[in-house]
Amino acid sequence: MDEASPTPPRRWTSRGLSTPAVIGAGIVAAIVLLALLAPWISPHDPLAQVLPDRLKPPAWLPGGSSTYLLGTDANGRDLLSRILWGARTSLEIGILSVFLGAAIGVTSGLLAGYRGGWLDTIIGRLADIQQAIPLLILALAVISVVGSSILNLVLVLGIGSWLYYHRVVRGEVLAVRERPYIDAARAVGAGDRRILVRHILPNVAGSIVVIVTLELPQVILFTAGLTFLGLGVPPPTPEWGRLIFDGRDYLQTAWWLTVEPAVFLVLFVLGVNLLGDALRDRLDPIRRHRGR
Amino acid sequence: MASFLFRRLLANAIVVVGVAFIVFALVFLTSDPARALLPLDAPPAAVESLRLNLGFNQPIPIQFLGFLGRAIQGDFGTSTRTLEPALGMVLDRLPATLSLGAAGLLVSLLISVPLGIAAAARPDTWVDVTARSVAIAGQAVPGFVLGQVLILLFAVTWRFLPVSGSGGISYLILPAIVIGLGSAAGLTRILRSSLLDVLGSDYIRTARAKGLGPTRVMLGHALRNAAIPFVTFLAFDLAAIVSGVIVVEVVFSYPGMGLLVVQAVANRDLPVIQAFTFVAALTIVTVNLGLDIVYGLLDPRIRLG
Repeated sequence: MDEASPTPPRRWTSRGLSTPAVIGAGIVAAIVLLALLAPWISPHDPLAQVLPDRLKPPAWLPGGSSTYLLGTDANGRDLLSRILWGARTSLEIGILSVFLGAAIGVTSGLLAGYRGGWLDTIIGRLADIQQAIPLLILALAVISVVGSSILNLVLVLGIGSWLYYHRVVRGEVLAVRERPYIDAARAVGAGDRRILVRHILPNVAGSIVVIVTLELPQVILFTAGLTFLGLGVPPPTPEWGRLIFDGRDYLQTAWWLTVEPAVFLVLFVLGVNLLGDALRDRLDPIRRHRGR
Repeated sequence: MASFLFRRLLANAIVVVGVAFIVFALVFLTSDPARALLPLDAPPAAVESLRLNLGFNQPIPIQFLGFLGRAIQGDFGTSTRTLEPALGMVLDRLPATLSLGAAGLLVSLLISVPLGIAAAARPDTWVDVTARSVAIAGQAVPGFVLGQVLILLFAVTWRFLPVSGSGGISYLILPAIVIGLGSAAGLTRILRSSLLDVLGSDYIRTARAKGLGPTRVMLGHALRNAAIPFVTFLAFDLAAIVSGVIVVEVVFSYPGMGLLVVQAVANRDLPVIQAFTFVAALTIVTVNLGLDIVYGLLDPRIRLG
């Protein structure tokens, strides 16, 4: 913003990668790895109930033991194993619905932006309607009718989250489609499909990645929120929201039941947000130019 | 301004009809619509007569027109649980939910506007980093977790504030903080970045060259223009605030629409769920229209264009 200073201060950057971005990437990678390895590294069966060992505190508290590093729940199930397996469920729902939402939204955005006309108008109206119904409320209404299962959650959260991909991709396509290189591609005989996939899509890919980093934590939080409202992943399948919800009645006596899964959830959301922020700064040419 | 308003009204009317269609379509996700709209112990004859009454044996477009006609008259059927009119039950709870939403929005603005200005005034300093960290942290902690922690601290351990329910202002404080913190994060970030964009423009340099102080430049010149993306984002954020209110009402057992609909979901009370979805969407459309007007006032290009 200040052209007088020759080198703007860049406290958060060293060789292009900012500290928060590295922290974010580290957290996300670690949690994804834990989720992938859950079948091999979780110390117990996440569903096995050992009733004599109910509500054991985590290992570092008095009464805790190294058998149950993070303690046990009210049914004597190992919390660490449930959190690791819960990460699988939460990430599975998150990633699948983000893919579904991105697939729908990117396709509709490409088509609406490139073709324009009545197609653009109709999809635009659908987007307006979708925007009037918050995703959580749509999911609540639909799931309450069709019943809750992982597949239904993925479908409703995925279909319901097309909006932002659509809006952003459409806008970018509008900006890109009049560029000379698109005309050039057309002049050498490229068809619409080729122009869309080979020339326009790569240009909007950066924005899509940024929206993914915004939507993934949203969807995972929504799943947890729906569980809280009684509509999430049905028990006994471990899922972060379910674990947090189950701990609700024991908040005063066994706080770790709520706090431990919540820490994983918050860390993951935080990690993706940090990563997304860094990507956004990096992909936004104006801000990159200003060194901010 | 009049034609601008008219165009917005028309667009919103289309949205409302679309929302009505989605609410209408919910019934068809069940295997037997007439069955879903009646209490579980309703006699088969009652199911059959409702089927005829609501015209479930007619073509879908005709059924939708019928539904739309009844919806316009405020008839969403009766609750399968209490047998009261579904819309009335939802509207009874609307004031409580609106006041909670407004309180949450107020908290959010009280946090995000000062933080956003402070961060933009001193970019890349500790002020900025702190403001951004608060914003990111606020976004990462889910409302139901924060709500439970606040209940435990303020209401159970220290006993400053009521645990749950509704009554005076004191019942609104904790829920409003949870909603406000959740939405302040995004607003802080958008205000910071739009202020930074505006502060780099020529007319700000002119204002500085005239000798205006930094406060005058920021509040008098920059804020007004930075407010435009802020209001746009607020419109997008509305959905998040409404969702937040639903969850927070359940956490604090606050007797608003959210608590009602969660009970309705547990009872599979479809008419109440439908009426709620419609009212929630209508609320959002109305507030959006209000924001459109604010938007037009802020930016003459929109009003006159």
